[in-house]
Amino acid sequence: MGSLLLLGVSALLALAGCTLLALNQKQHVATVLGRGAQPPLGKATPATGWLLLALALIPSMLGDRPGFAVLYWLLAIFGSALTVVMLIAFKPGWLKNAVVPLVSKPEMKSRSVE
Amino acid sequence: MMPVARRVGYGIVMALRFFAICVIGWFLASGVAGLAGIALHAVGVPLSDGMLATSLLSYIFYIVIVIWGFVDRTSIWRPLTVVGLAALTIMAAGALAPGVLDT
Amino acid sequence: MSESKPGFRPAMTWLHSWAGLVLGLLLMTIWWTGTLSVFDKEIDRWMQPETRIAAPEQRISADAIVERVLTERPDGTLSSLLIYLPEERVPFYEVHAEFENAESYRGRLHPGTGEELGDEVSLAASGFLYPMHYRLHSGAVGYIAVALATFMMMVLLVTGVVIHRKIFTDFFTFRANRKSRRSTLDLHNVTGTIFLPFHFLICLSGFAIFAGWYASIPLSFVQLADPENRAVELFYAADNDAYYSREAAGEPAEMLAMAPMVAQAETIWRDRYGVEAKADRIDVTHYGDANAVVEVRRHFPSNRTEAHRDSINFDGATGAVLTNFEASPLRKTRTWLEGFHQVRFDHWPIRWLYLVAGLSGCVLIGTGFLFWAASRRRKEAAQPFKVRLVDTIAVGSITGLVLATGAFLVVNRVLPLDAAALGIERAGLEVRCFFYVWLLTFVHAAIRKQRAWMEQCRAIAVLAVSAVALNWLTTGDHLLAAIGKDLWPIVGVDLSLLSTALIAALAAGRLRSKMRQVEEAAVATHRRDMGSPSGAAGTVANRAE
Repeated sequence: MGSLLLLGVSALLALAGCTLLALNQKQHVATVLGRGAQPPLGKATPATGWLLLALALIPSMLGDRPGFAVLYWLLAIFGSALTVVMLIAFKPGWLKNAVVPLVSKPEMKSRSVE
Repeated sequence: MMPVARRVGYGIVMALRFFAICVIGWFLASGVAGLAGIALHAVGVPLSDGMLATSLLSYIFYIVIVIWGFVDRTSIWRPLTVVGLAALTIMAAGALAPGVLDT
Repeated sequence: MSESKPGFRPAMTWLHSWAGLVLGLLLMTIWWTGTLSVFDKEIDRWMQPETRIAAPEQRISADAIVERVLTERPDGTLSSLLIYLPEERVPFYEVHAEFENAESYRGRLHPGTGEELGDEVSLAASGFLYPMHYRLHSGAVGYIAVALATFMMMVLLVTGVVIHRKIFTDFFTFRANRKSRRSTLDLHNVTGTIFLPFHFLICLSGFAIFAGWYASIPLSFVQLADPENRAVELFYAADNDAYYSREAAGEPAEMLAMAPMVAQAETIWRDRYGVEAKADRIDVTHYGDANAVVEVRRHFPSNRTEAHRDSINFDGATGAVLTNFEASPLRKTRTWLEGFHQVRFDHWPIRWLYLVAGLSGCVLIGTGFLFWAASRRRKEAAQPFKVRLVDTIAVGSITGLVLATGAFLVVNRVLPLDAAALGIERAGLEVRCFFYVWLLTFVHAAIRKQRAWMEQCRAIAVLAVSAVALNWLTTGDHLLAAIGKDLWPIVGVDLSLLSTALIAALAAGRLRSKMRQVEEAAVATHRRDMGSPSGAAGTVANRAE
């Protein structure tokens, strides 16, 4: 049970990482947070995203044998990426709710142009 | 009438090309793998290990053959080269194998 | 590549779309049955209710199983024996025995009582869907077709990467609400790129499993000039060095019990790998002879990714260890690839992720088909036959395949145990049903054109729900009962069927509203009341043309 929990944590980290990586791209930020919004963590977004993906390996290593842990970690990242794609496409609101607490100041300053 | 005949002709030529590159290309990749496996055996690598490595690599080689073969799909030389090389490789492997395996 | 750059990408686009089109049906079949095979043992339990066994508190030993088989056949003298030991996903003993009088016995026995579980009346997933995955039930031709399709799948993956310009920008992009051609392509790209490493490795590891067989092809060319077959012989001798055999002595001898040998083998492996190791198979040759050999094997460890070839041969009469095989490092690479592909280890989160990855591969192939057809419909209005042919094949290989699988499950629950018709046994009837229903879906698609998608989706929903209902009616294991009895394989299959039904029903609904829009748009254009309708309806109308 404990190891299942750790694998769950690993999947959540992977999901968070993929979310940040997606929200580093203009078109997805626009869909999820609204036109003109900035990536949730500003310039640190992609680095944090990659870091979270890397960190996801730790709980899976703690919860499983190394061979399974690496396999699970990779598959969990792929699965998370697909989940993020589907969330952006069908439930961007969910992602917004998850990300809003991260955004330090309310993203009202619509600097955008177009 | 003419367009139909041309279309059928085009279909046949393309089918032949697919066969030459995708099927005979497999023979070529396998033949090279066999040759390489025998060469490795000659320098002391066990045949099963050597063949295993070369046959796994041959799948990658096959991808290269197919891509190369279709880069120019009007060329008559590409399918012919694949077929010719396949024949040569197999003949070479066949000629070399008994000698190597005897040692 | 010696080619000039400008022509390279278009050439690859051409190769990608044509190879994909020609092999789409084959690839879809392989990919879908492979995806189902991830849960083959669970589908087996569902389709073979007699094997829905709770793990017994005390497992009887392999020796007791052999005794049981022998008491039922007092006249037979055993010559060889193959026993598959119970494991988590296959909870019973499977015994194949050969007798001196050339008779043979095959049975599945209860791990707690040793009772026979009855005849196998369905091939289920292990006997049908799984072999379909790697040899299409067509012998050598099937193996070769699957090999070629796998080669070409790797070519498709590589060319796909070449022609996909914005692979990183579009990594997370799925514009579901755009024109259907756009969203089809998005879905194709997304499933292709996200799972690219998995898809590539699954193709390569598929080859690794058959490396022995496929390597025999280069070897057979060598053989052309080597009539004595030395290359092939050497290769297989080395490939089979895990296996040991010796001649019978011709003198009878008392057989030692196998259970201590199994225990000894498991201790040796535990020391070697540092983790719990369970034997999964026992092979006995020359049973009851002074030269009897008992081979204890562990092919599919439950707690490692690799499919090991751990094998220890014991002298059946003295119990001495004859050979103790350990794979060479290169062989271990291969066994890792084999294990990665076959997923026989016990790891439920990974197993479910395999299912997701497999289904994404099906989506990848399916959307490839759809995108081809959608593009052609725009370009080649002059060639309705070609487009219609592709549409038909697309329907048959996407919804048709799922529908046939549904029919396979339903007919399994409908046929009586002793069913037989036209000289075909029950298991064969199920298989025939699968193929005939599949064939019918193509006919249906050809007749109903665009409507076929919606109608087949509905049929899938109906079949999936009826499969769950029939399972309840014929075995009593409805969802709650199955949960109560800890029959998680049944729970899993039932829930998957219900989700399939839900998705199919939703898809049918969505297709229906689209068709409505098309019809309305068509009527509107006819009347020319308001000029040509714009927006979504117009797009859909274009698509339906």
